[in-house]
Amino acid sequence: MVFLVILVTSFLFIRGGSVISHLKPIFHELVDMVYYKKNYSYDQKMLALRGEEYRAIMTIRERTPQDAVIYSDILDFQIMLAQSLLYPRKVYYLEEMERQQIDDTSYIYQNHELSQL
Amino acid sequence: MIIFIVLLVTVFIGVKLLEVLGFNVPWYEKLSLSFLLSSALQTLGYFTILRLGVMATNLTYLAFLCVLLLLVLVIPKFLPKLPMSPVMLASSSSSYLAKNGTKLLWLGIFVLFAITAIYTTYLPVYTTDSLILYDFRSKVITETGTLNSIRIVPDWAAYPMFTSTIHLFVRLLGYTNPNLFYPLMYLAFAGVFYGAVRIRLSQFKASLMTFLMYSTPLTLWQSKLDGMTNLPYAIFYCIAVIYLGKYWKNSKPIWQYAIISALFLGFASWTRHTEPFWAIPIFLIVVSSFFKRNLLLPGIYIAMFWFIRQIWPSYTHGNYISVVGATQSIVNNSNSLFTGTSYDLFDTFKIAVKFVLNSFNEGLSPLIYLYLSTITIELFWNSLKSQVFYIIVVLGNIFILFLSVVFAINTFSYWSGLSNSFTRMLSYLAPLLWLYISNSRIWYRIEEWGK
Repeated sequence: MVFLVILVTSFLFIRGGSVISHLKPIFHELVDMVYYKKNYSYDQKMLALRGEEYRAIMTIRERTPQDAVIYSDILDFQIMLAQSLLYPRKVYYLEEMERQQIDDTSYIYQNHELSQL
Repeated sequence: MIIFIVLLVTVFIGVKLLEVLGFNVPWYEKLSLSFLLSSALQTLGYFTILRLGVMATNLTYLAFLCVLLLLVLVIPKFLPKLPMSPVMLASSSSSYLAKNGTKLLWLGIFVLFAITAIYTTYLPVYTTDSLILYDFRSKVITETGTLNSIRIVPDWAAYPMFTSTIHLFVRLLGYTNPNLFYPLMYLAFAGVFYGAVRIRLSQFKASLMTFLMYSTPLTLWQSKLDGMTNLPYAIFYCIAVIYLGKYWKNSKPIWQYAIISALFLGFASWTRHTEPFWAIPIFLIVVSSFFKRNLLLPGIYIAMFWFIRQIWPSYTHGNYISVVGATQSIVNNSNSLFTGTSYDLFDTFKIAVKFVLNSFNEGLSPLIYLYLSTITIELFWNSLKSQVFYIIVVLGNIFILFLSVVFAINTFSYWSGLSNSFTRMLSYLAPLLWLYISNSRIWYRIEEWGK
């Protein structure tokens, strides 16, 4: 039994190093979630989690209709995020604009600015 | 409210299915297994009916659930009662320390569960992989009602639909946050793991090993994520190994264990199709057919697994889009292992060894050292024989992991950027290493010393 206790204690001690260093931020996050930030909206949570890239998404979402087609210069990874978060709007690369039909639902998002085509 | 009813019905369907199979295990293992079995079967079943053209709505999902419920209630009345699988449990100490220690350890598990549950109920789906693929597919199906609409999602065919279908169920029931499913899944796995180690260990020791497994940072951290497929894969794969181990170790071929193992190995493929680790259980079931002198059961095992595995590629090929991962899989490209262009073979192996060791150190330390110590002590005591099954499982998997790295080095220019994904993938090894340690003869020696 003593051997078992020594074995487990030493294991927990080694693992403890990494656990304890994470405990403080986890505790703070939990307090935030159940108390200080419990009434945060979806957008507020996403802003906190994903930062400025989500602010761009919010801007586009607020200023475009659901059937909008948006041409954007944002990078590869972000365009996939934009396609998901702005659905059912369609999001294409800027270069695609030449191949698509432009109408009054078409928008362009370039250099962090949104304008209707 | 409706989500709790659906959850209860899900568990009930699982319990009834296990009863139909004559699967006799303690209540905690039965409940845990029922939840996982029923959830996975529901995703497969609902995916199949959507494929047949049924619209995805809350009504069709609830009707599907009712039909399942009816089937598990009616069908057993027409079936002969099957012989039950045996229940095996090690004796337990009734000492004050053991009893209260067990309670304390389970309290620890529930506290960890509560922490991950708070995270998942508060946080929306936010990880990049989930937003751009897993959750996005469920969002598109909910909006359009059709399965084929997922083709607008970039790389839609890269992974099967297990997590996306779970998200779809939650969305169809009127909720937008499906994240709590993952801590529940992990807690259920703790129940199955406890059942597996309880066969050889007392209540206290089995609880201790379950607590250590549950608190492994690599897997615990993933249970608070939102639809990533690594943890469900790890859970399904490990359950397949656990019941294959039970099948292997029993002198009689207990078919219930083989069937459950085959189903869960199939579910693992239904979660991540490209992982080649299914080769180890298939190898072991084939080997078992020789010493158990039973060819039928391994045949059924392979057929069941393969049937579930083929569900996703049969859909993606039907839409004339190749499965991205499958064409890149190690099985389909074994020649690229030895035909690297960037490095010669020796250099590739050297780099791969370094990469694997670093990832092990990062993701599985100090567990990997505890595992190596256990193996060394067993070697010294000459008791490795009893661990043949888990030695093949662990070493076989490490070997495949190593080959995967060699393959990645030779195939992807961006392979070194995959270290995070690789470390995350290692999560399926953690419960296997804990299983190995739990099954070790060391525990008996410790008990003998204590007497």
